[in-house]
Amino acid sequence: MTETVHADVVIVGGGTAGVSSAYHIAQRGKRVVLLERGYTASQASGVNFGGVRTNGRTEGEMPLSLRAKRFWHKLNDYIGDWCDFRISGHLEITHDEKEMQVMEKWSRMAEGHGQVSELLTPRQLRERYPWMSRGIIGGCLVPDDGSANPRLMVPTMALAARRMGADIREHTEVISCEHDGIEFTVATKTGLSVRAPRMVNACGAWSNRIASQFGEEFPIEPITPQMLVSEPVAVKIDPVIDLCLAGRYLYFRQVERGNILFGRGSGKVDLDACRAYVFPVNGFNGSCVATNLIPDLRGLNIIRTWSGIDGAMPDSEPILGFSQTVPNLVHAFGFSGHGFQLGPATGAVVAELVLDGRTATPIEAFRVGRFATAEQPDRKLA
Amino acid sequence: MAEMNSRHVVVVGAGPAGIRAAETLVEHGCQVTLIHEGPAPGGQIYRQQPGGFRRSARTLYGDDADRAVNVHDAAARLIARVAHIPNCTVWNIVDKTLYLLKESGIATLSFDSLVLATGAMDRVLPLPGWTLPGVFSLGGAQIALKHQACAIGGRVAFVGIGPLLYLVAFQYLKAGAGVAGVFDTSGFGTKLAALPRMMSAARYAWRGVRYRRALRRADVPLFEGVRPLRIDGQGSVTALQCRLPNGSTHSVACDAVALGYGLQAESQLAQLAGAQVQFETGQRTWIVRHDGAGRLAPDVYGAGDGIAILGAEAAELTGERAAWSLLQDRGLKPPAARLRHIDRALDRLVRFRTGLDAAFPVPVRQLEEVPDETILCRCETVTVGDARRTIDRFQPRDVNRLKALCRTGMGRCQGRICGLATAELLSQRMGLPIESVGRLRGQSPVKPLPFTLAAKEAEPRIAEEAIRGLAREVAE
Repeated sequence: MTETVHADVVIVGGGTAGVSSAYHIAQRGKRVVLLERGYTASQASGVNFGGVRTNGRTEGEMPLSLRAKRFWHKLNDYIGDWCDFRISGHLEITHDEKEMQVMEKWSRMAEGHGQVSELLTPRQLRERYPWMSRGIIGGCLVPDDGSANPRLMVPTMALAARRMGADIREHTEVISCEHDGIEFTVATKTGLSVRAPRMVNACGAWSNRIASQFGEEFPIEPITPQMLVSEPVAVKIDPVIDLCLAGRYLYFRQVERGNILFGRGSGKVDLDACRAYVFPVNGFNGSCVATNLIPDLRGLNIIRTWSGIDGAMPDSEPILGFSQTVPNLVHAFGFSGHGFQLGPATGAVVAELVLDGRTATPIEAFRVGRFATAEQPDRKLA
Repeated sequence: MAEMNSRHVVVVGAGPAGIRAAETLVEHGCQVTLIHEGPAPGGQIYRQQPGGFRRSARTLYGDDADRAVNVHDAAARLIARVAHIPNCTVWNIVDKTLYLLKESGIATLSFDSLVLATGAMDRVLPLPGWTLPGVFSLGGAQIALKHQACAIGGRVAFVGIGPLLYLVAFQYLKAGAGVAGVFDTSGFGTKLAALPRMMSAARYAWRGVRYRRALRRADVPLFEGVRPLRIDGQGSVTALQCRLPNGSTHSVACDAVALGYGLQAESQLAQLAGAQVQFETGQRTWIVRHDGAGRLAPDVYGAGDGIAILGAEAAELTGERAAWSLLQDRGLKPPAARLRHIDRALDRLVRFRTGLDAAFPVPVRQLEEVPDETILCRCETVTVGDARRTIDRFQPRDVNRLKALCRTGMGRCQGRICGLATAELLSQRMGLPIESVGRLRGQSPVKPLPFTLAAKEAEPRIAEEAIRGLAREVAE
């Protein structure tokens, strides 16, 4: 069955970036169609760790992250549900003097952006977090960070976007897209065709598949951040916590039932099958760090492991801005494993870019052309 | 040929299927490792009693005593000729490596070929009170008696479907436990209509008649075509409430309930090994797809109830057949007459099975009547109402999506208990065919994994930094 729909904006990709963009575009009263191959938030957007943090963000990400924070703190007003969002604080901890200096520097930088944080001494850590191993020498707490349920956040935002008129089509895989100088035409496997003067590429790890149809190519690599979860634990761990050890982060948070979610390492990806595979050794390494940090875990079980696919850029910053080869195409992908918190602001910025042509939020760090080589001219449209 | 045959085969499971598969492989020169979760071979159906117990095979296994003894004898002969790893859970499969959990720790084992004979477990459907202490699955109630000579209660109500319902009630009666009644959700007429097909294995049909007669003679109330409404009690079971075919409500005092609606294949490992599953309409459950001779995926074979629920006699046959397929794939010509015999015997048992399925349809409609506050997923305390509200709000069409949205099936048991009921609920509420909503995907670890044992397997440089960096004392 063929069907052609006309819209102001067509979005490809139903993850955090795409759904949030649809939400903000619909809020502005524009006709928006979102095309998603599976369900919304099928990959990293729906099965990520659920951390909602500004803590540890690069200076380039601070404005976007702080804009997102304002949305998160009123999540229920915006999308009609809290999605288990909890302001519990986010704590970076370390066992390493050099790492502590990095945190001190970060704290000063954040203060310049108006973000309050608190540097904690070993004594403060011991008083507040008696379950924590004594090897931790300090930490940096951002009290107004927290966590949310990624399985609910994007699907709930999609419901809110639909209520405002967004046309969100799940199980609608894009097979081709083209630009005739005026409009984009996006064809799908179901026979649906969408025509719109503006387009958003929010396909995460698969974004090159859209970009390449317009002669663009980005150095994006698929990653699958690996998660595991414990049985409910009696000990109470309030903040979301990050610890960098042996060159990688262990990050964890406790959910209301008492289970602790841990993330560490990246698994194997099959982009064509849309499947992420877990490497057992990541779970072993994570368990080793976790049991040394939280002795109360001893005697408990790992009950589940999972992962989802995200796209990572070489500098771990997303691509967010206009295409360099075709007008009115906005790219929003490559969030490199930390796009969940940014999501609400990402969509707001995308809406401003596609509808107004500019945004007041600084996004210089996410420049589309920053990886362009000599063979690929930096500004084809300039 | 000898060299080809000496490549390493791992058989997972030591019930009738695993034992017969391993036996056939060893007889033809394969180097076999036999892994199973129990302390002794036999599986659930022929589970052996602990040391020091002295009940006879006849007492333990009843009409199946000869088969049980044969399988145990075969296992005893086999153990000397295979690498035998009891008390061991396979919790993950990656490429051609098994991840094992033993009391001593985690280990890996690589294989050239794999035979999965992982058996089955009970299916339950939620009803108010089903998570009360004293409510057991039907199979669990039988294991308690067979293994350790324990009854689940002094006055037990048996609720559900299938031949196991009458068998276990009969076994409890014989063992001297009080049987409060048998509450069969299938009507007499339904069973009568299916009788002709069940005559393909008449001796099994005849057994069912005998168990019923024995129960009647002992004045055990037998009800057919009932709908269980709820299990009453505060902290423990005190009564079962049912609706009888005439519409009246019947209450029976009891202190335990055995609940079972047939079996489901333990197919998680097969899925991790690359096998596909398919819906089995008669049993309303998912079985593992194979080529008709036990081939599941390249170098992966399957047998017994872990592949399709056909019972213990069929398990011995499919175990042997999977072994022949493996040997054939390694260049050995299987004996045609023997294969014909196996196939003919299996045909008969499959026909009997379709008769049984027709006689005991899974009463999934009873879910429509279950009140919202009833627990659906006991691991995560998700109620039927939570699931219904989530379905109405998000309109998911796939049971894995429903799981993501409301946590059902996310707990310790990985959805073994609530998975099929969740799928039925979703199918009913959304008006979708049951096979289209799918089943919960098998994921590693297929059973819970202790943190401390996992931690021991960390890479040395990480373990070293974790211990050096985290375990020390720091001056304040």
